[in-house]
Amino acid sequence: MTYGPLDTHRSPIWADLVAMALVGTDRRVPAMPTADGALGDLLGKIAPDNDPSGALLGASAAVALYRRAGWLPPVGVVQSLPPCPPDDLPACSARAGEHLAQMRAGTHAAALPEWLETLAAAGHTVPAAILPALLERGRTEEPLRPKITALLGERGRWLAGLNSDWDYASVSRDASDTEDVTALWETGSRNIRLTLLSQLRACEPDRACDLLAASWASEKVDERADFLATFVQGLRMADEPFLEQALNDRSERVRRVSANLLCRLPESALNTRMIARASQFVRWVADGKPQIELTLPEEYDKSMQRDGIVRKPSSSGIGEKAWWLSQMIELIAPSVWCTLWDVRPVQIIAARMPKEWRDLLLASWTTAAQRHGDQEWLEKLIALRRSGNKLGMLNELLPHLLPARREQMTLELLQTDKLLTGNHPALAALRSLPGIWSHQLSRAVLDALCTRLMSDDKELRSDWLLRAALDLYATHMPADLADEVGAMISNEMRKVQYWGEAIIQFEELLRFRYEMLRALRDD
Amino acid sequence: MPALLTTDHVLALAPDAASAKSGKGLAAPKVWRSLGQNEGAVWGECQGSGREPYRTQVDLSEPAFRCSCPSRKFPCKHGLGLLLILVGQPAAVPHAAPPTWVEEWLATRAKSAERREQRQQQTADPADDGRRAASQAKATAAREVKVAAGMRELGIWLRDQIREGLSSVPSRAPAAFERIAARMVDAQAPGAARLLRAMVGIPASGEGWQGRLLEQMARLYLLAEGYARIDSLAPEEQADLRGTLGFTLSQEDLLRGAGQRDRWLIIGRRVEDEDRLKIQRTWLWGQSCAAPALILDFSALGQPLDYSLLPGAFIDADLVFFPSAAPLRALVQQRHGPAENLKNLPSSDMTIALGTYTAALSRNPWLERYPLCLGPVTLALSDGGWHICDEAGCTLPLVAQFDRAWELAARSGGQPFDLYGEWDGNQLTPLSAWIDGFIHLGGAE
Repeated sequence: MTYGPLDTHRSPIWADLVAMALVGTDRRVPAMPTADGALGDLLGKIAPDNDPSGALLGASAAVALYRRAGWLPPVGVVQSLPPCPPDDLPACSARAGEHLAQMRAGTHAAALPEWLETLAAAGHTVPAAILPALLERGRTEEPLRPKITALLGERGRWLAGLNSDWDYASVSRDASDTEDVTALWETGSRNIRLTLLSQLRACEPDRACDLLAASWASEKVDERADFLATFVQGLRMADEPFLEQALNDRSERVRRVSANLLCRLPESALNTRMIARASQFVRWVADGKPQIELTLPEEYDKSMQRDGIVRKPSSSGIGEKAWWLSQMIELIAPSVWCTLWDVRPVQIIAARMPKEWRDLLLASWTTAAQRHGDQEWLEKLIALRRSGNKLGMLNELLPHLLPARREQMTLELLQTDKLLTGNHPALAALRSLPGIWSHQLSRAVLDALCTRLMSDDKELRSDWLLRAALDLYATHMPADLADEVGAMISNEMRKVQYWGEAIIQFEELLRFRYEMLRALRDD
Repeated sequence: MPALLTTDHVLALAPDAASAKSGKGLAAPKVWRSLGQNEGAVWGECQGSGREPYRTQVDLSEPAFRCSCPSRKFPCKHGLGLLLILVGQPAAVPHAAPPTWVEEWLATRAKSAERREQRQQQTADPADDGRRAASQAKATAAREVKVAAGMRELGIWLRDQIREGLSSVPSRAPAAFERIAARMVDAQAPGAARLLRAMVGIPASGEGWQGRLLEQMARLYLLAEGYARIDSLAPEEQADLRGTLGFTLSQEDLLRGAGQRDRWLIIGRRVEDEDRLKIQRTWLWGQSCAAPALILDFSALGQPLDYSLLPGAFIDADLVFFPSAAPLRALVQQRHGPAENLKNLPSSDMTIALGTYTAALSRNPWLERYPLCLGPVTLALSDGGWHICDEAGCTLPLVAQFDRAWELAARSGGQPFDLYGEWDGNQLTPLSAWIDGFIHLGGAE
């Protein structure tokens, strides 16, 4: 309180009283304060003679009450919030608002992301009163942020702009056309600038490149790397000169981000350099049974450092030289080797390799296939893992397959005659499928689930992995299956020990989503 | 109970934020196995974690709650959820004849209300009154002797603190405060004990603690000195002094006095915990008299508070004020008709509103808080926290503990609105606002 009624800076008489009380009347006899007018008359009647401490208390009581009663609020010391621009989006219906309240209270909370997404698609927003809680949720749960920013109207962005914790949401969706981009870039917080740059990369990649290039020298190390990472969107050969320049950066992180980007450009100079470098060490020998020969780089040189290869291994399980080579292979698109050696991925994977380097090579190619999204390589690597029964590892690869193929593969996995259990490979596959599954796949999951529930083997009662997955399934199945599911699941299944409650919850979540989506669409 | 109950009314009943949140989670007809209502009550069966569903019922006349769930919250989340459905989706609650378990409860309630009335009539017997008054006078006289001794002791203790100097207080707190407070309890001056206990934290409250401590000590000194001269004070001033010390008045006697009839707007409610007691302050505003009234209710933890005055409504009623130089605390003597929904909040600019505080404080120096009806105001955010500004640019700070300022900002969009709150002389605790309708701020969101 800097301007309260008893502010000692503004009231010398009160300041004197406090100072005297602090010292104590035993140490110093108080001089009674004086004042004009009625207060002065009153203070004059308090005689300190025989009772100095009582007089000090009495005078303090009089002055404190006098100041409190007469205090006027200060004028013009703070600035009111700027008014919000007129609302542009209608709020959702009361019915939809109730669903939101239920989810926020913890009931069927798993359906929240879908609710947000559907509301945004309908061009509606949340009631204003909910905005602070929603923005706060996005602050702590980063994955929800795009869904939240998508449904904010003027009111939401205005509010987010007032609180630096919520700045991720304050940039308007089309900031790049409507606002002064340069000003926002120069004055915005880190989150705002990141959002702005990503937006620009999507529509005007050159402008984004110019913007970053102009302020590059004055950006902090971490921010340079994060800003550069947005270039993955709209990446093109025109970006090469800037990215090549970034390879000269002092920061290892910046160099790695830049090298990663350049290797996605098949015609970039870095890509050519990297292929030339790596192919010295990995060779294809076609005589007899095909085999791959491997030697390790002997020295770490300046050019490797510049091209984003890190010197010190990230773990102790790998030697320095092997670590350098693996980084090279990971950067290069795996299809490059096929062209270079004129073979298919399946042949490379089946080729003989030096025993001690086989795992290293396959792991590096796996990373490369993931980075470059090479479907053929991914398929073959998945087939390798399936045949080798290292099924747990499938979940690393599946998310990189194209969605349609991923779903198809999941269906194949499900339709083996193996009972659906917690360690069935299909569980990992299902986890990798985002969004709403097809009716076909959902029915297959339900079939497998019902078969399993009726098998009632001993493990069923402790299969927590499968039971825990039910919640996930209920968020991914099309909500219009709710009736069908109700009919498929028998009362017997609802009574299976350890499962009953989870099954009922599964049905309820699906039903809730059905009603929730209906309320959003009827708006 | 207002004719048109709103979601805000219902949430105002929640004992805490967690209950409000859970209540909203149960505000879906689907969660309920059965639902029903008639003109006086609403009931439902809700499947909880137990085998049997919980049976929840609300007597709408007060409202009064009952639920078979084991929760110690009152009202529990089931009761709140049930009312929220009634408000939000009345069509989902079919009109029906109450089942036996509801009927029985309503019958017991009616019977105990009858008994209460009979008891009240019995105590109205004048001969009884005389005896009671005589024994009470004797007890009061004995207490006055004790309090007088206690006040002398308090005066000495205060002087001792000032003689030694406040700079040495932090090393003696909180034990020194606790001892003198305990002494005040023995001396039957619980009001003085409460004020002393509230001072315990001041020496550790950061910059400016010395001034805050001196002010509180000076206020207590005024109490001690005032009691020594109580006979020289006007009856209303005596009443304020005695009230601050913790003397109580018979509510039955008060209720026999003359009431003040007005349209009383119920504009705010706040519940605070003190020791093992819940204290509920319900603030009313008389439409014609343009003055506030405060209804206090106390309950031991776990016991229900009186929910008959719902913020956001108004009642046509007679109020009896406790005697005071600046009358504020009151009792509802008689209601004329049911409660109805508020149409707006009363409001004025800060200078006028603070003028009413000045007038009240200059009559009752022990006044701890006073209601301010402000508007139109806008919100302002500065390094120090949230503030409100009126059209003239006058500024008041909001208490740091107020956690719904962002919600108010979101709802108002930076536009002016009316705000009602408790002023403690330093900061405002918002209790309600009007932004496209009544918003209760004294409880959970």
